[in-house]
Amino acid sequence: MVKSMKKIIILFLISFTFLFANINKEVLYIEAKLYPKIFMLIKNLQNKKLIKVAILANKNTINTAKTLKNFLTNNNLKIKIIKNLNLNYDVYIITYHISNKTLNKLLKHKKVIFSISPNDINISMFSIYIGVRVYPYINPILIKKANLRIDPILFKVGKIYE
Amino acid sequence: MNKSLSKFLDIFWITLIISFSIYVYLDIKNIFSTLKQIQKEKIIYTMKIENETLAPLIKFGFNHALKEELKRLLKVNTAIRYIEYKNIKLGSKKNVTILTFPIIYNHKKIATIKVGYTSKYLLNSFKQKYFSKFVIYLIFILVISFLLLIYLRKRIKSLNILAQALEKLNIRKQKEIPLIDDYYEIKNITNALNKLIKQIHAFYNSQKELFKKLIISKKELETAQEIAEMFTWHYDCITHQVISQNFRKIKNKFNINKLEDFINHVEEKDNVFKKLELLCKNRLNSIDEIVTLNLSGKKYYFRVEAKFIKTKKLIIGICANITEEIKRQEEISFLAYHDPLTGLVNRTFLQEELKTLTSIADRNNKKIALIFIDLDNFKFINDTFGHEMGDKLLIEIANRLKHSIRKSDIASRIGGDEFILVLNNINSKQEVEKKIEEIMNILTKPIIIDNNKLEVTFSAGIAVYPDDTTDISELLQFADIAMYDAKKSGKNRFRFININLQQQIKKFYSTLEELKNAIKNEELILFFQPKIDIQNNKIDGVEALIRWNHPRKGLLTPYHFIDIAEKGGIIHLIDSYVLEKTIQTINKWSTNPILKNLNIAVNISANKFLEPHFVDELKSLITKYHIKPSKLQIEITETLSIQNFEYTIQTLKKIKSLGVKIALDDFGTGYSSLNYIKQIPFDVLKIDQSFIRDLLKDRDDLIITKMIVEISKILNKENVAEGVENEEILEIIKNLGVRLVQGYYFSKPIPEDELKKFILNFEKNQ
Repeated sequence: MVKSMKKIIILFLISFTFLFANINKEVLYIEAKLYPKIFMLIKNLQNKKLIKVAILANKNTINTAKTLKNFLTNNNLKIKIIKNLNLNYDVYIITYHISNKTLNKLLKHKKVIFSISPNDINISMFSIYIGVRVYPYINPILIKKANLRIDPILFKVGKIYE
Repeated sequence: MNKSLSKFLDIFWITLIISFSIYVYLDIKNIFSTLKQIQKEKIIYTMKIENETLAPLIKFGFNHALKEELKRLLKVNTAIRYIEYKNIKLGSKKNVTILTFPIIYNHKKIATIKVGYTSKYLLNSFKQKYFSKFVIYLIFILVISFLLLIYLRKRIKSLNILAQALEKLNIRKQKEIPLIDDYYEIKNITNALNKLIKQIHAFYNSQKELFKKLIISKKELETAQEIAEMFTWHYDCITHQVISQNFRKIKNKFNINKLEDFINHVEEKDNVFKKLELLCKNRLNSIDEIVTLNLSGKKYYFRVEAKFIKTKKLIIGICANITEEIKRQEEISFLAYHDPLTGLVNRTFLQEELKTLTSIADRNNKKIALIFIDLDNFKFINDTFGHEMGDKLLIEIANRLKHSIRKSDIASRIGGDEFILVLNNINSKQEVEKKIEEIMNILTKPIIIDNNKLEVTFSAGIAVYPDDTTDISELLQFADIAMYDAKKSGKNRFRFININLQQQIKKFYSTLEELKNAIKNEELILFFQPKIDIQNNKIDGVEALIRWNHPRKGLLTPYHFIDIAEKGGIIHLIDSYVLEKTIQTINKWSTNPILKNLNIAVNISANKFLEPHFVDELKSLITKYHIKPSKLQIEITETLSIQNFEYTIQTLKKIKSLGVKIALDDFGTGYSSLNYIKQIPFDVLKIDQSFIRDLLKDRDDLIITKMIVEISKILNKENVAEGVENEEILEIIKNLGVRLVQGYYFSKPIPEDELKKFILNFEKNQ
């Protein structure tokens, strides 16, 4: 009985891990629809007509990055998938767990950081929180650290990460 | 009607407006209060919502964003006019309500924000909306009211017309109110009113009839009151006034204009008013008084009757003229105590007065003389000059008697020609003698009536109280006896009662008592005197004659007791006794071979004959003893037959109709005319023995007897000669043609046993 219970728990955990490791298209699609809206609430992005967006990907997440790029169809977005960090973009969407060094660099240059996985919220400013409902996932500490000015409405509609 | 309606409408409108205004005011106030509360709730809600935004901003120190957010809040929410957070103070604090909100983050209060808000915009917005609605509602209400008014005016107009029709309604004429409106209520009211009018009209008619009846009975009552000369009145116990509604009905009769004048003429006025006051105080139950009024010298009597009506504090009474009644009572009273012919007091008054006078005499130790006066030969005067003259004579004598005595004395007429004088305060017999001589002198003076000079004499008997007796009845008897003694002694004189006379009276009364007992004890027996048919030599019948078989004195003839019976008033008892005994004897003899053919004649006194039930008594005795009525012969005297002639004829006819025979007794002594005799329905004529007895000596008697016999023959009646005592007389009688005789020649009256023997002997000798 105990053995079978253990098996069930292990299976559950494997499937859960797999779910987050391989974000499905629906989530990406939602993120593609949600993130541009958040862009508009970030006051530091002064030229809202052309926001340069970099999807930071590695070999494991390139496909995901591509899928996301495809979903981000807004005209006022200039999207590029990058593997190596450069600071020419306004917004960085990370698809993997970046290093603290990378993070600090981005923060230093007041770059807006999004992550496609809510698990990476600790190293990004915005992500997506999927619960009963779907909320923007906000990391105010990083926002504050980068000294970004965002529309307070985000705090109203989003889930705050502490 | 219109005024009151408009007034009503004014009040209605004013009330409506005030009510509506109050309603609106309270409603607005309520709404304002609610709106303020809503505003507050709204702010609270807003801040609750805003908490989600503000809390992370504060928590994570996004001061700039916080300020912007607060600005936005101030901008977006017009109700929020002031926000204060630490150094951030946005807006104005003026005219705002400050609320302090805690900022909650993760269930922890991390800060507070003061928010000042105003309800002004919300209220203004409401005011605008409410006013426009109010105007719409007002217009709507006004329109509805106007329409309602038009509608009501129409209905009210109908009601007004109805009211006018009712005002014009004549209750005397039953006329229906026409239907003026088809509206249901108006129709109902009109129908109800018409029903009411019908009922009122019916009630009016019944009241009219009742009123007519009332008027008639009032008139009848008034007429009755007028006839009865009476009026009703009432006395107010509070104002003490007497008021009469119908006094006028009798005022003309008595020539008095006012009731007050009438009251003032009442002699017993004070007494009557005293009694009225007592009645008011409930100390009397009623008043029934006879009052006297002296009007123009005439005396009137009124009966005043009254009762107290407690609830009204009123006395209601009547006042009726009873003068005539009182006068009649006085007349009756006068007649009861006075002799209507002479105006002197009568026996009743005398007897009553004597009681008083004797008491006074006893107290004063005086005597009273009772003088019984009787005119001598008054019957002769009456018969000669007629009753009218007799009456005038009595009146004159009464006047003389009245003037011959003192005022304290009494003169009375006790019947016929009998007067009694009562002399008071007498000291001695001599004084009475002197007085009676004076009176006799006055009375015996010639009296001239209708040019006839009459000289009358008197006999008087005197008894003195208390010398002769202290009993009033005895006193009268004594005076009466003394008067008879004076008469016996030759008339025109007076006599005092004496011991001899008193003894005679005593004897009279003891005999009378014995006689009464004799009737009870059947001591009275019948003797029979035969009547002989001398033409045919046989016994025709007998005359029954009474004898008293006295226990001590032996056999007594009627001479010894009939007079006493007549004076003692028991003669009718003896008559009844003899009549019954006679009829009983007829019955008894009917089976006796010797006596059965005899008829029996019996004498009936005038007293008995004139009794109203005599014929009934006779009839009942005939029925009781089953006798043949023709066997009985009733003998009445000739004198009786011409007294009360009509009544006697009627009674005799009734007796004859029974089959009983009638004999006229003592014929020839009664002065009766042939005309009378002719009318009397008799069967037998008995020639009085006074004619028969002297036939041999007196030629006139012979002629008279002859004439009587002739008369009987002419009238075809049987005749009987009484008192035949010897053969010579018998011979004459026989020659005169008389058929029946009775007398001592044949037989004296004998008892039944002897009669039988007599009959047997008579028949034997024939």
